[in-house]
Amino acid sequence: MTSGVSVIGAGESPYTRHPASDTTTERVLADAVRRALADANLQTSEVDGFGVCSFTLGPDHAIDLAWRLGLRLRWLMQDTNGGASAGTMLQHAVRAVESGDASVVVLVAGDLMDQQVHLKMVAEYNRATADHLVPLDMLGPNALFALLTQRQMAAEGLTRTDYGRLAVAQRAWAALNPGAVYRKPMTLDDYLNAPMVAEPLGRYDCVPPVTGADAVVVAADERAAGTRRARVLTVSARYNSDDQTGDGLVTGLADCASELWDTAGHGPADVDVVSVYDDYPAMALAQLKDLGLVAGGEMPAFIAERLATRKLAVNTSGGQLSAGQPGSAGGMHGLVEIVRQLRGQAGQRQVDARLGLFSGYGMVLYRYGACATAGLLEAAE
Amino acid sequence: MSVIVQNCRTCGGQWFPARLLCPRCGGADLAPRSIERGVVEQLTHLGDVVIASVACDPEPLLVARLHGTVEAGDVVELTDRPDTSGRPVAFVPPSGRPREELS
Repeated sequence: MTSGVSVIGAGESPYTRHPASDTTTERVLADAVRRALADANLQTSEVDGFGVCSFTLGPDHAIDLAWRLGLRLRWLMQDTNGGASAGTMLQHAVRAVESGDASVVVLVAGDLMDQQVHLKMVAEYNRATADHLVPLDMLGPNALFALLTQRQMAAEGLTRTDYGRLAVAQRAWAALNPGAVYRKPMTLDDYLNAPMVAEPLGRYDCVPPVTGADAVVVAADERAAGTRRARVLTVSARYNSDDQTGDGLVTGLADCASELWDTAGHGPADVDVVSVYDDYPAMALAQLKDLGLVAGGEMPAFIAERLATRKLAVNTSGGQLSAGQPGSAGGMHGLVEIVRQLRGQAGQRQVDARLGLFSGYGMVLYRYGACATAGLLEAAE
Repeated sequence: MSVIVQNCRTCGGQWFPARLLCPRCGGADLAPRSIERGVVEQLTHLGDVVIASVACDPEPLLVARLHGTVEAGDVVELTDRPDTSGRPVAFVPPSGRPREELS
């Protein structure tokens, strides 16, 4: 089944660890919007639907940003689901285009994320964090995911070397992506000898915060006839799938998987290119398992034979671990990469891709993330 | 020493952090309950700070800071006070003050 809705353009405002002093969130978001529209060969006057996710846009809202971009709209949304926001917004946008509520929708996510902003964000992430985590002298989620990674190591028989192979493979992809902030080759020794953050997590298990933004343009297939596009086959989402009462090793994607594959008429073996949300290597693996790309108990062999060799094209941009985590745009980054691969725009890292899978994950409530989205897209002319 | 969690008077579920409705049965009759101890599941070090997952019987799962010598698998006393007497405890910060108490 096809929805008749495609992503027809994608853009990324260049990621940087050290934003210039006059950088603002809205300018970074605007830059990504402008690049995505240029990629789709469209003008702002042709856009009638707009969605944004940003942790740092306040006090402005989606309408303020739309106004400053000169967008006159029939459809508008603001999303707050961070790493899962690409799937969240795409799910809504596809329905909006199908129903006729909008014809050309731009979705953008991004943040100004210097050290000061990052510290403020993690301290005020939500009420549970402010009340129950910050007073532990624990700033940010590293310790939570260290505990989760320990559980995954025990459950799946994984070692730090296994996680290191994943990180090294993503760095090798990043070397082929001019937009990644860390492109220098990394060895397994580099990974294992890096300073410990919270055992078993070392420096290269933790994403580098960057300033940047990612955007896509969504439109009906008729609009894009004759141009290379990424047709959206299906998008699926789960929120708060277990009330934070589990071990965090199973994400909401486990419940998305069957409807995702059934709707698309494909299986995990059909996928040519994958972007999974890699806030930590353990979560990338958890999502690959939930989506059916690796079975429980087979992770070490899967990592060695499929990821380390890069035979399975996973996080071909380098992922957030090497390209950087632009605040709430981490999930949109993965979607942009899938769109580029399916449209043949991935440069040196281009793989032969017909079917692409992306997933998002995020919003730590207390012990781990509670939002999970995934989508399948296929190359179409 | 103890921490206060929510106890659902309808289904018996125990929750932390505080919910508005019981996630298991949907009930709104959530009463405070003291829990004295839990089992350390995993722990990690953030510099000198030791962060742990602590399991209460039968629930909930807590994120705590450990003080004193505590290892994974140990039963540990729970406290909602940050100051410690030096003996092994797991500190679980309580909810913020109610709005009316804020100056």
